[in-house]
Amino acid sequence: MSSDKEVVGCARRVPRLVIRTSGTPKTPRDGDVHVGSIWNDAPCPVLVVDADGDVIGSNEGARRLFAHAEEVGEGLTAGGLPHWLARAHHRPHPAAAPQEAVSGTVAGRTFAAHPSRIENGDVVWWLVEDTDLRRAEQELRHERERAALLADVSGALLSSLNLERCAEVTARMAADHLADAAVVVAPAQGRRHALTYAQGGGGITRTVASIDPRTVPGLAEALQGFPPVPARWIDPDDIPDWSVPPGFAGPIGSVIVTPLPGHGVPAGVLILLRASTHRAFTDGEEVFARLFAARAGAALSAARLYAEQASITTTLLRELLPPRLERVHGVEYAGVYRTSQDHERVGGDFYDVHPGADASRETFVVLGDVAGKGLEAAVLTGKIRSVLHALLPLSGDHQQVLVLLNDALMNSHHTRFATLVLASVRRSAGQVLLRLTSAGHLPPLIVRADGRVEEAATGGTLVGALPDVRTRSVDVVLAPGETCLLYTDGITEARGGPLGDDFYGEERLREALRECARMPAEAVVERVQMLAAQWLGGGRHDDMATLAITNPAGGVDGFAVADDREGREPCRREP
Amino acid sequence: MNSPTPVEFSVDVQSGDTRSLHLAIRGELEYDTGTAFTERVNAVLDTHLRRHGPALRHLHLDWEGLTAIDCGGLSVLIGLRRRTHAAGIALHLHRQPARLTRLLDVTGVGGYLTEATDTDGRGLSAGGDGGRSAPSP
Amino acid sequence: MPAGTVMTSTVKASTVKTGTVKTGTVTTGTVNAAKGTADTAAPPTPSDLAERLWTAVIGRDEPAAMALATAAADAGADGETLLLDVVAAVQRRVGHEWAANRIGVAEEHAATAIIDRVVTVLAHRPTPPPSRTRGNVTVACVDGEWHSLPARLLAETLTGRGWRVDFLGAHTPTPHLIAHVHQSNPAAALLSASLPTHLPTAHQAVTAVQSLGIPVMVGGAAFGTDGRYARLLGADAWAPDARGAADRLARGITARHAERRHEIDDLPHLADQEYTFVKSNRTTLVRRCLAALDERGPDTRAYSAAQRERTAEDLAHIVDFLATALYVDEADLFTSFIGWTRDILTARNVPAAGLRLGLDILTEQLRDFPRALGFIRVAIDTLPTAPAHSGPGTA
Repeated sequence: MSSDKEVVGCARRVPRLVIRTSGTPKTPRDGDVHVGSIWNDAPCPVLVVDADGDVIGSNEGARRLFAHAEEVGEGLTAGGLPHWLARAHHRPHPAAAPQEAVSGTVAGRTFAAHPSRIENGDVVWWLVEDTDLRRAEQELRHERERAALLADVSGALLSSLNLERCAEVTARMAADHLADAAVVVAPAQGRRHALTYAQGGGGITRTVASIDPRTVPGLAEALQGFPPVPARWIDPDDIPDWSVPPGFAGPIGSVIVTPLPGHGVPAGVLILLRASTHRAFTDGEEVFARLFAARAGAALSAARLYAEQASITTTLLRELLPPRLERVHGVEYAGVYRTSQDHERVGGDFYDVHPGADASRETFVVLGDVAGKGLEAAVLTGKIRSVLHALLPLSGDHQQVLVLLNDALMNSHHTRFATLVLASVRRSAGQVLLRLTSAGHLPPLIVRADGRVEEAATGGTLVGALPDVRTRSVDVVLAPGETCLLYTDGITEARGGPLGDDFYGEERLREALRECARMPAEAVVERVQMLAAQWLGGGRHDDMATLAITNPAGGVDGFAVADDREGREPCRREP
Repeated sequence: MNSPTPVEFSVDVQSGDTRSLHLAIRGELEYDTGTAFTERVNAVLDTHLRRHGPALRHLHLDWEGLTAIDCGGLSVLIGLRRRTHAAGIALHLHRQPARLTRLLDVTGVGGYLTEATDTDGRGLSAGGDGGRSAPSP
Repeated sequence: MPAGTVMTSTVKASTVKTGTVKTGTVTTGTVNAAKGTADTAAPPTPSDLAERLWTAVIGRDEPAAMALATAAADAGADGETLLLDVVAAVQRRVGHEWAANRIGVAEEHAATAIIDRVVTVLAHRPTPPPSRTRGNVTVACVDGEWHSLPARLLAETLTGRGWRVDFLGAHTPTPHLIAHVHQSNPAAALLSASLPTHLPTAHQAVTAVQSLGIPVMVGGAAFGTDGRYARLLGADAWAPDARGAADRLARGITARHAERRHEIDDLPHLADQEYTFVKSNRTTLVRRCLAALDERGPDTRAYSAAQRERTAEDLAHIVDFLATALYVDEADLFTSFIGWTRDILTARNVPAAGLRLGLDILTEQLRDFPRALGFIRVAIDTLPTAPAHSGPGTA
C-alpha cells in the first residue's frame, strides 16, 4: 500500500541520523551529555531506553509529549514508556537484524517509533509523528467505503422498480450505514402513509398508518418535496411513537429528518435515529447522507412512476384483454390469444363469448381481427367489442349486426377495417346447433368426431371499410366430441418451420385438427397454438387467436358460467 | 413458393398512356410497407394528372412480384380504390399470387376493388386482360 | 416412501354408518390420530386412485375423472397427496405411454386437458386455511415451454402450504415475467422448464429476475435429474419436485449479489461462438442435411411432402439439442436426447440406423467446430451402424 511506503520513507531518513552518531559514547548516560544536541535537534521526540525498558534519556520534544500524556491521564509503564512501545521494546529479535518500526498513540497523536540499537544494548526510539497521515488514510478508507457503498446502494435501488422493495432497501441501508434505525415515510395515499422501518442488522417492518406529519418537526415540509429543505436535527424527546421502529430497544439520542428528493414528485422522507447523543455528522458523513438521499429519492420516484403507469395500463387493458372462457349451457368454449409483440398483452385480435340468458337462448360468440398491431389496434378492438355488446339484443340476426357495426366503424379518413366471425350457439338435446357468419374472415373449421375437418361454408365482406356488407351464413350441427374452431390468420401466416421460411398454412392446420377429434375445447386451442408457436421457432409473428366451440365428448354437466376478464392476467391464488 | 431472402418492396411504372397506367408491385405489401405503397402510387397518379389532366381511366396492377400481403396491405388497396374510383379510374389486378386471390375471396373485397366506374362503364372490358387472371401456381 | 403410506396416514376416517365425516386436522406426513378408529374398508391408496384416474383419463371420460377426484377429496384425502401422488403420477404415465407409442398425440393432449380440469376442480375446493400464511411468490414456465402441468401442480402445492401464488402459466415471455415481478415484489420466482432446449431462454429469464434482486428457484426435467444445469445457469435454488420446492422455499432463498454479474460469466465456453453459429444457422444446416440425404439414398426423394417435413423437423430437433448441448457444454445432454430419439423411433418401428446417417451428415456440415463434432461423435457411438439404404427417422 502506498501509505506504508510513506512511512518507510521516514524510516530511511532516520537511520542516516543514527549513522552520523556512530561516534556516540558507550553508554546513553554519556550520550545524554555528548550527543544530546543531536537528539535535541532531531525533528521528532526521541527516547533512549535501556534493556530493562527504563527511559534513560529523552529530548525536549519527547519531554513535552510525555508531560502532555500525563496531563490527559495516559498510563505509562514504570519505566516511563507507553505500553505499546514497551511491548515492542521487549519483543525478542535477532541482534543482527534491524528492528521494525511500530505504531501507537501518545496523547491523542499517532507515531511511528523507529528503533536504532546502540552497541551496549540500549535502544534509541525515534518517534515520527504520522497523525495527519493516519487521518488522511482513514479518511481515504472511509471515502472508498462510502463510494463502494453508494455503488451498492445505487445497484440495489435501481435494480427494482417495485416501490415496496425500494423503500425496504432504502430503510435497510440507511439503518446499516447511516444510523441505528431508519424509517421511510412515503408520500400520503389519501391520509395514510406507508411506513417502512429498519433497524441495524435487524428486520424490516412495513405498515400503513394514518399519521399527522406536523407531529415531527420538519416532516410536513420534507414531504412536500419542494422547496428543497435541508436535513434537520430534531429533539428526540419530541418525536411520536410511530416514528420509532417497533421493538427498537436502544435509547434514542438523536434524530434527523432527511427529505428524499424525487423527480418532481415527492419521494418521501427518511427519518434516522441514533442511539448516541452525538448530533453532528462529520463533513464526509453529511455529503454521504445527501448522496444517499438523492439516490434513494430518485429510485423511489422512478418506482412510483412505474407503479402508477402500470396501474393505469392495467386498468385500461382490463377491458381489452380477452376473457377467460369456460363451459356455458353445456357447451365448451376455450380461447387462447398470443400477441404479436411479446412485451404487449393486447393487440388486434379479439374474442368474446356472451352467454345466453338461459340454456334455451343462444350464446353469442365473436372472434375477429383488426388490421394493425399493438395498442392502437387494441383500442379499435375495444370499440368493436363495445358496439357488439350494445347490439346483443339483435345478435340473432348476424347480417343486421354486421350492417350496424359497419356503419359505426365507417370513416372517410381511413380504411382501417376488421374481419370477424359471428357464431350463435344453442344446445338441443345431444347436439350443439351453430349459426356461423364470416365477415371477411377465414371460415371456421369443423372437426368431426371421426377426424374429418370441414370448412364452414360461410363468407362475406369485411366491416369498416366498404359501403355495403354482404354475408352468407351457414348452420352447422356439432355431435358430441366435435369442435368448431375460430381462428385468426396469425396462425396460418405463422412463418418458419424446419426450413425456416414456410407459412404454417391452412393445410397444416387442417392436418393438425384431424388429431383433435373428441378433444376438450381447451386441448384443441392449446394444441393449435402450440403447433403454430413451435412452427415459428423464435420468429416474429402477427397476433394469434384461437377459439374452440366444442360439444363435449363425455356428455353434459352443469358448469358455472365464467365471464371474468382475466385473460393472461396472472391467476392469483390466495391460500 | 417463398424466397428465403426478402425482396425489397417496390412499385414501378411498367408502361402507360393518357388513359391507362401499368404498375408492377414487388416484395411484401404489409402493415410496414403500406405507407410506402400509398405514397408511391399517389405520386405516380399525381404526375399523370399534371401531365395529362383527368384523363386516366384504368390503373393496372401487376402482382407477379408480390411475396406477401396482409391486412395492412389490403387496407391500403382499399384506400387506393377509394381515391381512384372517385376520380373515375378503374382498378385492374393481374397475375396475382394464390395468396392474394385467397385474401380477396375471404375478405369479400375482390369485387369491390375492381368494380367498374360510373364514368367508364366499359372499364373491365376496355383495358387490360379482362380483370383477374388465373392465380399463379 | 412406499406408495400409499402418505395416503393412509392423511385420509380422514369417515364413518359411513352415520354418514358423518370427522374433520380432524391432519398434517402431511404424520399419522392421523383417527386412523386406528376407522371402521370402514381401507380408503384407496394413491396408486389405486391413480390407476382409476388413468382409466378415466385415457378413455376421455372427463365426468368420471372429475367424479373420482371429487369423491377422493370428499372422503378427506390430503390435497397435496391427490395432486402430487395421484394426478402427477397419471400425467407421468401419459408421457411414458406416448413415448412407448401406446397412445397418440391426440390422446396425450386430450388426457392432459382432462388432467388440467381435475387440477382445477381440486384447486377450487374449499380447504381449511393453512396453518400459517407466508409471503407471495411467482410461478411460471419459461418462454417456449408448453408443459405447464408441473408448474401448475407446484403453484397449487404452494397455495396449500400458505403462500400467495401468482401463476403466470405456460410459455411466459421474459418481459411479462419481469413486468410482473416489478409489480408484485415476490419473495422468490420459481421457473419451470421441461425440455432442455429451453435452457438458454431459462438462463436469460433467471439472470433477468436476479438482476432485480429477486431470488430464483428452477425446476423441471430440463435442469437435469440432479439439477446440474440449475447450478450452471446460476439459479439460486433447485428442487427435484414440487414437495422439494415447497420445502426449499420454506427454508428461505437468498438472492445472490447480481449487480455486476453477466450471463457470459456463467458460460465462458460460449466464447468459441459454436453455439451462436449452430443456433443461427439452424435452417441452413437442416436444408443441407436434407439435400445430403437425397444424395445418399432413394428413400428421402420418394417421400411425400409431409414425410419430408417430418424428416426436416427431426433434423431441426437434432440441431436444436446440439445447440443446447453447446450452450451448457455437456455432451451428455446431446447423447441422452439421441438415446431418447432412438427409443422413440424403435417404438414406432423406424430403424434407428437412419438416425446415425443423419448424424454422420451433420458432422460433415460442422467440420470446423471441434466442440460440436466431439458431442456428435460421442452420440454416434451409441447407435448401430447405418445400412446404406436407410433414411432418417420419420416418427
